[in-house]
Amino acid sequence: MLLSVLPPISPWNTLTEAVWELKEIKCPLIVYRSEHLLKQLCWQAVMVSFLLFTGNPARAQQIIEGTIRDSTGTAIVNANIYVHSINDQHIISYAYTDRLGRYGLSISDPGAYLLNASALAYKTAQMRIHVPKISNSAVIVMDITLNPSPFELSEVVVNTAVPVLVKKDTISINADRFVDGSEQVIEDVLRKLPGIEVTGDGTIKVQGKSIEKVMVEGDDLFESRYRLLTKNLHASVVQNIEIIEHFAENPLLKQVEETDNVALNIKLKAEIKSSFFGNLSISHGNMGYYEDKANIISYLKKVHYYVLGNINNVGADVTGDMYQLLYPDVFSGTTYIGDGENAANHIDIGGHSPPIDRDRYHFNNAELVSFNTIYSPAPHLKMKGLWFFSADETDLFSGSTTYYDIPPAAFSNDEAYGLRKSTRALSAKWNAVFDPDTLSRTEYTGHWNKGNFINHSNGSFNTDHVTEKVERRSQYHDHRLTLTRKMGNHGVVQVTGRHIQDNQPSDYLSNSFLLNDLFPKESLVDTLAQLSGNKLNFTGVEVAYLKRSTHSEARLDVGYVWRLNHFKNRIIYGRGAEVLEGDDLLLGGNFDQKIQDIYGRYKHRYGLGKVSLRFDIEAHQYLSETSYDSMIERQKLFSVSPKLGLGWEIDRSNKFLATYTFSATPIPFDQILPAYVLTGRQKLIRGLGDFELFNGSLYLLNYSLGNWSEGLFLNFSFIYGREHKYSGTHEIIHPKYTLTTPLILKNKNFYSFNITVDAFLEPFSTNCKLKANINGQNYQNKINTSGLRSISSISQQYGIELRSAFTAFFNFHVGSDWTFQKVSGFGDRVNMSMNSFLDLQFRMTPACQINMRNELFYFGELPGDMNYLFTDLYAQLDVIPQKLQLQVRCRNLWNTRNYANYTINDSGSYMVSYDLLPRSMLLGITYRF
Amino acid sequence: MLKKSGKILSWNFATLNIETMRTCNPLFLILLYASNLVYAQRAQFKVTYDFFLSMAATEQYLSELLVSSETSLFLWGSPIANIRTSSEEELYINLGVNDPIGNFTYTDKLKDSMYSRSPFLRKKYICLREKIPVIPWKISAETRNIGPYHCQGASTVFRGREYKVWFTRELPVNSGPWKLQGLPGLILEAADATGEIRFLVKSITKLDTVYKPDFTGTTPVSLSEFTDYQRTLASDITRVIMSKLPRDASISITAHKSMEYFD
Repeated sequence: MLLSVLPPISPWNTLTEAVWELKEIKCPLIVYRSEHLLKQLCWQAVMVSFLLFTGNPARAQQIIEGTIRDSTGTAIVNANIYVHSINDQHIISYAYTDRLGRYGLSISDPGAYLLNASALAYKTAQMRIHVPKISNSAVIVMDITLNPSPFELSEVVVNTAVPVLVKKDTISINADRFVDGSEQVIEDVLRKLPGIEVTGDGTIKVQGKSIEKVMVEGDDLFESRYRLLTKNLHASVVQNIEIIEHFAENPLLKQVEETDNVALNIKLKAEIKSSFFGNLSISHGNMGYYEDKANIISYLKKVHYYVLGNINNVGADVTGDMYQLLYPDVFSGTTYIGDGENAANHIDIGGHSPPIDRDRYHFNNAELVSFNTIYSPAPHLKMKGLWFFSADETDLFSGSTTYYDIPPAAFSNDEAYGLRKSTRALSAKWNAVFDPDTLSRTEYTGHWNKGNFINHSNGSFNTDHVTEKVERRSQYHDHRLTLTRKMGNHGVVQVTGRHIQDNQPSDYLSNSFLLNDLFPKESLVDTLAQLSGNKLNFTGVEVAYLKRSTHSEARLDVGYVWRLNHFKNRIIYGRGAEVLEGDDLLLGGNFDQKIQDIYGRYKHRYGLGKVSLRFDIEAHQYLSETSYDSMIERQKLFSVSPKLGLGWEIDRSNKFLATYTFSATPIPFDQILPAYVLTGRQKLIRGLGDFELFNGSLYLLNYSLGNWSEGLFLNFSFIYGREHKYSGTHEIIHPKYTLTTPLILKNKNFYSFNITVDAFLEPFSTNCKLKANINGQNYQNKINTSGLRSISSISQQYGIELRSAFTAFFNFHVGSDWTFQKVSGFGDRVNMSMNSFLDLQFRMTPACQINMRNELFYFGELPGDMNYLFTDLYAQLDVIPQKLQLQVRCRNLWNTRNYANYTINDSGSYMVSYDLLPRSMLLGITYRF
Repeated sequence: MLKKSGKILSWNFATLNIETMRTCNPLFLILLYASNLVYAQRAQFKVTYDFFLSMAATEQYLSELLVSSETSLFLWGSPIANIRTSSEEELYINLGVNDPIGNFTYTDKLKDSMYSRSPFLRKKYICLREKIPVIPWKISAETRNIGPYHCQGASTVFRGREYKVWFTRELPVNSGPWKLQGLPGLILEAADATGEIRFLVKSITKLDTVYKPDFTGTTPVSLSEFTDYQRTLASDITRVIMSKLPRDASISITAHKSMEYFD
């Protein structure tokens, strides 16, 4: 409870102070000076005025005044005088004496009080005063005499604990020195530590830099989703907070790799044996909408657990939460041999996704549960496990018109589909790190997942009714072992071995057969099916040596990869119960590719003052063996690709970067297949049959003027690329199907100019951003009987944005983008589109905020000049800070029920319309326990 | 670091001693010593505080408050630890230059004056002379022990920052670190709500001599002149950055950081 204490009042010095204070509240008072009589008058006047202006004129004040002197009668300057009630120590009024030893106090309630007077080198005097009634006119005069007392003060060392200990890259902060017991969760503690800032959404920054992760006793359960921890873990368990600068996942690489990452480590109090905490969020709304989430975390001495659950039908992506936990390396930028290797999936009837927020068109019913744990069985051994299961049924409804303006005659296809995707996935990841000393580290990571994905579509293709089903089963294993050893002071050797197995069989079935023109011998065929098996076996070993000196950083990798892709495919069609296989085209069969890749890669960065140079070179020897049924082909290909880079920081405001890259990219496995494969509705694609390398050159120039903190900031970039050899296409486009075969062509060019200008308009406290982007490409292809033809496309995008930077409760961000596109193939084709947005933010009080988002889409070529407008509202109220929150969410306020867009390409145009989720209003509550 | 040089105890003077040996003439040195009038005083003591200032970079100062019944001098010179330099992600113009005299706040109760020496642009210092500000403290019922002292909590809003302090009546002065003063007891701990300013008491020792501040090289300016200076400095760099961010990116507006805001 806060007691309202009147400001110190004493007859003279404090008189002017009181006047001054009154002046600050804009009272028309005269400041008096000097002259004793005038002072007295003035004193009375000021006291009366004070009482009048403190906002409670009816409430009288009893004035107590007097002089404090020592035993010789000398005035004591700057003595403290304060009043508290007899029953407790709460100070009701206080003041200190002026240079004549005078003071003045006021009391607003009658009663018995204790008046205390104290000064340095005097004994404290205490006397009882009784105020029978409050009188404005009668002043109680209390003159006090203080007796001298020798000033005794032996040295007092209040706190020996060092509050902040800086040790190389770790800053250890003793939390006890900075807290006062009012903190609820870790976030509250962090807010009080020097150099740490916690933003409104819980993002933690150390000296302005966002941190990577928050660990507990060196263990990391959450990766970059640390807010779950900092917003829920009780403050009372914290002993120390460590700020780890130049944080590297593998501490041995810290010496040799430049990193600016910062992480926090929370050290728990020794007596804390266990802690159990978490949060629960429940939101429900109209039309049965819901989104419920739970996070339960438990810290035991050696084992830590984290359980996460999420169910919703508001279009929110639940597995997105899991990606950071499953693939932390992707987010931290660490790469290992074999990253991204998987068996390709050939067939997809999922259709396109519109370029709007996923939760506008994503009708879903998602469930996810995840269990994570960290266990330390021995001091230098740490084991981590993660399991999750997710299930979802999503619906997408779309209708499209594809217009083909091609020889021999233009035509269009109308399609309308409802697509249901059912997903069941179970995933597990386990990790063990053994670091017996500061010189070596062994890490093993295993990953397994199994999934079943069924896509079911039902709709029409022109006048034909079509139902299709694709069932894909996936089973994936990944094992990686990484050994790191420090070599001397500046070198590290890292050996990584990895084995990946991926198996993705998929079956496609359609109730209609529209390929009659392709297979003219067949008649009365009514079903079509494709049964595919796709397997990947990957094994790789890489040895890396990293070295760093004052001006340079070098890395040498030598590696060996063995990859086996196996693909079997069978396209069949049926007439009633009869199963037929076509022989008109090369369809199906067994296809294998074994690739051995022996490679070396050297990267060198050299920095000297304002200039930095980069030189990379990579050499691969590929040994490929492809077999199609019984035909075997062996190929040896060798490639060398260099990369050069120059960075020049001319001065603080002018920065320049130029790079040249020569690349030699091996053709992906799915583009080698020598037989036709069904890849979508009525789409058959055949690969090249041979293993090939495609060469290209890329030039990049970038210049920036000013920096983010300056009023004007300009960034310009230019990219020019040339694919010396590329894989083009020859498409046979028929009203009922498309057949695509590859062509090896030369010299495809592309370019991109990009300029962004930010200007801060000081009078309006608003930034104005102007953007322009022009890109184009020239290439060749064949369509039907066209022969080889040249295509050129150019796209121009211009944008303007205004974003306010008001310190008041309101801010806005508004902007528009216009895109003009032109494609020249069979004649010229143009398109124009526009997107605009307006975001408004209101922070009514620190506990209450309201955000409003508006989006408008317009496509110039859509019939009827269609505009699509979306408005969403979000309001949040902290009922009990850090404990209980209420949210209101309203999506799609105008209940816009569909969204269409229009695109052009070298063969025609494509117009598609999607059904959208109707307006939703959700009321949510989040509770922390 | 705290160094002792003869009778001159304050570390910043000691630093001056070393540095001026190289750069200044002896006369200047003598004048400087003369300006630090040392005279006997009845009762005074020294309080050391760990002072954390987290603006452009977090800096830790070992600051000292020299208290007598009529004056108090709060000294904070060069940081003893630069806990972290500022990052690229957030940008500030740091005015934290250090000269041998350093920063101080001197309160003279007899003259009702407070003098504060603080850095200004281009390695210059500015000295603000103002009346001792009356801080509208709210004393709370909370109590807590800090070392052997029984403390009471108090809070206030002073020049744009919300402070929470702990003071003890057992040391009967009305002083505190920096400009925080006016409670019926010594302020032992103080922190502002943003965590950017924090004073933590470390030790308290008796003093035999008291020191006056060194006003060399600065002419006191009034509060209105000082606020004008500060306003011209406030270019609100962070607001400029904020307004350049893409649509879904957001940062909190930290605006111009200063120990005092006069708006």
